[in-house]
Amino acid sequence: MKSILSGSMNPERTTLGIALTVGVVVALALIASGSSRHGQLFLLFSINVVLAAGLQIFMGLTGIVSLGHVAFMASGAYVSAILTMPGSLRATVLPDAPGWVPSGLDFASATIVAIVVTALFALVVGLAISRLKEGAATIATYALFVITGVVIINLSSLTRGNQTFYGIPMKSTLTTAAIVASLAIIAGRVLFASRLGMMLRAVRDDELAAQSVGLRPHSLRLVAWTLSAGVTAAGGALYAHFVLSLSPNQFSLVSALTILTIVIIGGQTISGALLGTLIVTAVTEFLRRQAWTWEVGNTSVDAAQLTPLVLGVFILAVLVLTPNGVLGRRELEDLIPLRRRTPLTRQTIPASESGGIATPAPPAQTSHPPSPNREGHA
Amino acid sequence: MQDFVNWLALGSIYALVALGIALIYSIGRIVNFAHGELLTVAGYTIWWALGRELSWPVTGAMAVLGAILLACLMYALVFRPLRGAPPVTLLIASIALSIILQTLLTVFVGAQPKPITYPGWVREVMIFAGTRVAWIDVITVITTGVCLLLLIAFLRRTVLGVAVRAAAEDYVVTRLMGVRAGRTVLVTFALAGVLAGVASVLYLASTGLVHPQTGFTPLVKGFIAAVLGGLGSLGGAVLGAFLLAGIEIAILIFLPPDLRTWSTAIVFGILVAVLLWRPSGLLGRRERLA
Repeated sequence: MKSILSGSMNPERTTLGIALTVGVVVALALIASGSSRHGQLFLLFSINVVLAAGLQIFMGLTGIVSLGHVAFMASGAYVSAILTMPGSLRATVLPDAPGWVPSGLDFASATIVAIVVTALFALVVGLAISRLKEGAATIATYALFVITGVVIINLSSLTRGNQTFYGIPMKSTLTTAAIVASLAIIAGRVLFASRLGMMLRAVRDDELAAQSVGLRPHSLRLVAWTLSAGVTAAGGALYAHFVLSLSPNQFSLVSALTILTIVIIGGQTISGALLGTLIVTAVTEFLRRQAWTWEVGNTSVDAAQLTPLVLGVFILAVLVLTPNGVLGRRELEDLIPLRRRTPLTRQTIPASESGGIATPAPPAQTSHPPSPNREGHA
Repeated sequence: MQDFVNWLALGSIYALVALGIALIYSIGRIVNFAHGELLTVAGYTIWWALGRELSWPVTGAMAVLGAILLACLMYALVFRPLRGAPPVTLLIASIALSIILQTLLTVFVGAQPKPITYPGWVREVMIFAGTRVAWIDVITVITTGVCLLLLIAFLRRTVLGVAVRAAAEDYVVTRLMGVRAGRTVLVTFALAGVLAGVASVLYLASTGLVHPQTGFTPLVKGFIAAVLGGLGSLGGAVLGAFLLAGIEIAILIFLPPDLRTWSTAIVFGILVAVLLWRPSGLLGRRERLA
């Protein structure tokens, strides 16, 4: 296990951190299992965690903003939905679907197929995107988003085009969601802490220097892109089997911006994705529950409608105060201060005693405030 | 010939928007996602002014003023505090700004589209050498041409304009030369506001409606145009605009009707292809290595 994490400065600590991060998800699942309303909230939360982790695998490791990951969410959603739909329903919902497409699969198999299909799709698209420089790549991801929308609408024998795709079996239980979210987090964190992750971070921080030691930015970015697409697809599958019906306008810029908001606010690591999801879910739910309404002119405004505005202000505040997000480049375990084994003390060597050879005085046991870990692993 | 007229008119509107985007980008590497809101707010100003029975010239002027005001506020409240930040941060900030503005409009003015009635003669069509030309197209092309000429004159002949060009080319050295950078950037934003305001007046004639997301489509088109031409280049923005208009009209002409839904995808595909070939756009400056 430790050898996978060879990109991390302290694999033991990282393993602990991964356990801690997953622990947060599990704890929330346990808390939520009390009531069905909390359960629903947890479902939404974990879907967003998976999507955010997926996006973070790309954005956190390459530093490039992607507006197109919604395309992978859609791909994961539709593919898995087509596969889990029982054969009998298939005839009604998708009468023109080709016969060789299996039906009635269980959630796990369908999701795995969805991940693979999406990853292949991402690989092809990524060949172009990984070659573009930062600003152009972001624009290309927007192009991906638009083009995917068009494709979904046009492939109506498989997606029902503009019409609602219904009849998806409910498979996203609390347990399933917790498992998928935990897996996504583990996958993301292992990637970040691996040798591959380290190489990506090197390219992110200084592309030219990384190239000078033999790293290949294009290939590395392609790998990050493909992996992040796979994880995002899993989020899409979880989403599809929760909302039970799909239509193209669910995969709009608004959904993309929500996940982007999460990733920006939280920070540039998987822990950041988790924290960001916590913050955004908390804010959204809080505003939703506010009962007050506000009379403006001849319309009444309730708090929930102001949610995008509040989140937008949050983003601006984060950008001004902590541009790298709340956690920046730190993971959860980096918030726990390190304990120093050998306290530093100032040592004076009296000239008379040493006789020309400096002998340091033995370190005294002083209580020394622990200093927090440096930002980032790299 | 008909298509030529359509192309000129469409390209003109795209050019106005793309120029505004390119101006703001060149002054601080700011990709301003909120540029569309300049058009939206200008549109709402038109609706409000018409509601007060103001005459069209006054309405147009107020629309432009509204856009200028919003542009300056954008600078003062968002982009100035973030100056010097990496382009990614500025991009995200502009996205956040766009969301905030759209939400404010949706909540406080309403999501329902508001009508804007243009004078009837604007849509009247003249038959000119076998082509149907609406007055609005003529106005669009002439207005854009005048704006471009004025812009060029401003950038070349006035001290402030030269300062804007200098700051766009090399911000640091410009400041070292003693130019008041903050004021120059503010002027650039105001300029972008002017262009957006004018574009809004011309653009809304085709739909006659304004709603919180009105500015989104022009934003996307303006972006594609500016990126095609090279984000830092003003000439490139205009070139990209007419190129984009040309592509769209060519698609309309040559593509069989049942494939029409793919037209957006085709445009974006062409954009990606151009970016792969020339990452800095057609007229963009090649990035220095260090």
